[in-house]
Amino acid sequence: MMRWHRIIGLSAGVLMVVLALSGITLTHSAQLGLDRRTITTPWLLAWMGAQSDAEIYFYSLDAHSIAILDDRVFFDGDMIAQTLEGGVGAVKIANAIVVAGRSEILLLAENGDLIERVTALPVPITGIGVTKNGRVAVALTPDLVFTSDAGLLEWRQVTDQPVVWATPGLIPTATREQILQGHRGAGLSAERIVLELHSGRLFGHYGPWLMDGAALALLALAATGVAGWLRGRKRKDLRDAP
Amino acid sequence: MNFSMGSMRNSLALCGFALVLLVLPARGEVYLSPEKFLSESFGGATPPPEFVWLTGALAGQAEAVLGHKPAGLRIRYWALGARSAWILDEIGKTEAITAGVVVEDQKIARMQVLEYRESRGAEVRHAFFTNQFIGLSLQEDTRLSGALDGISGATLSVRAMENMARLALLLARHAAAAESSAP
Repeated sequence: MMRWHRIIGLSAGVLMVVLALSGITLTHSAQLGLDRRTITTPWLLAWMGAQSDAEIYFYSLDAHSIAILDDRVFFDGDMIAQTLEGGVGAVKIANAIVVAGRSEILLLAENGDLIERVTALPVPITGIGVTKNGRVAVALTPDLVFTSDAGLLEWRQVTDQPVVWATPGLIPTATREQILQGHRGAGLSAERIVLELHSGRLFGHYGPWLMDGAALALLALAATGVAGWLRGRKRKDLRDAP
Repeated sequence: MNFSMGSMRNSLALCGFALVLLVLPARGEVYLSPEKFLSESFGGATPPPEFVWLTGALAGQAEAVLGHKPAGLRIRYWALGARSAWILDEIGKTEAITAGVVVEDQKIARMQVLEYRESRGAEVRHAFFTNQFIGLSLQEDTRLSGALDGISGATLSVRAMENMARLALLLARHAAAAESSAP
């Protein structure tokens, strides 16, 4: 019995310590001022998805600009979309702006309003450009290029069509700062970090299950501890018997 | 002490393995691709896409139905005769649910979850829930013509599904009116 007690204790001990200490900390979080303290540690913010070391890709489009950072898209420095997977580039067409990700396109009005997320198109996109007659072109490979109709409804493969491909340019410092600030948001409180740690969510999708396991291990420790104590007492009684 | 260092190493390895597992990213569940949904809805001959613009009064009505501003200014649909198919996205709690809605003669003919990304509430994909939408139409107050039995623990997903059904009926009505008034 005591062997199981030791195995459970050593296997889940670290998690139990995390569970207990984070629980105590949360109980006194207001007195400790954790709800008012903002986390600025870069690696922690990055782990929580609140900061990125990724490069900002900047596209100057006449009077406006598009910037892509991770999966986020910024129009004139303001975030307009958070989930464009694998940003590829942005181009300007008549009365609209087109931003391409690996598997979808954001069609924007000239004021940055989203017209449509276009997903019915050839993928995976590796390049976006504009043809001589102002149509959007996407490249899957350098030799596999498709162009769309004006409404981005239908796509057809083209060959030997001159295309001006989108290439990122130099981002102005002020816009860069505005984007980074928007990306970080209002910041994360220390209380949030402890809460995420206590629930296991800090460790990802299966983290809460791991913490459930640690809580169950605590119960098992209590049970094996009591059982071991009872067995020890029984042995002592037998030894002390006349 | 009969607990060996080998056992301890095994336990630590197990913990390490568990940590590797739990940092794997969670993904949405795709139940039916949009292409397959459309193909099934039109007997294998999907018509070319069209779109409605959410401008003017329609934008306000769509916002009232959803309870928030629609994500885009135009919505794509596929129509053949009195039948139209709509693929819509709506946030349940924090993630978008993608649903396909087929409207025929201003009544819902099919409702299906195509992709579900929330961590809980995916019961809304089952036929026992989605079949409740069949035959429902849109009343003047933009409510559905019949009541739905909800699913406990999936209230927000149920609401998102209901709002997508109402939006599809609203847009189908608008598209039909626009077509009938076209020269």
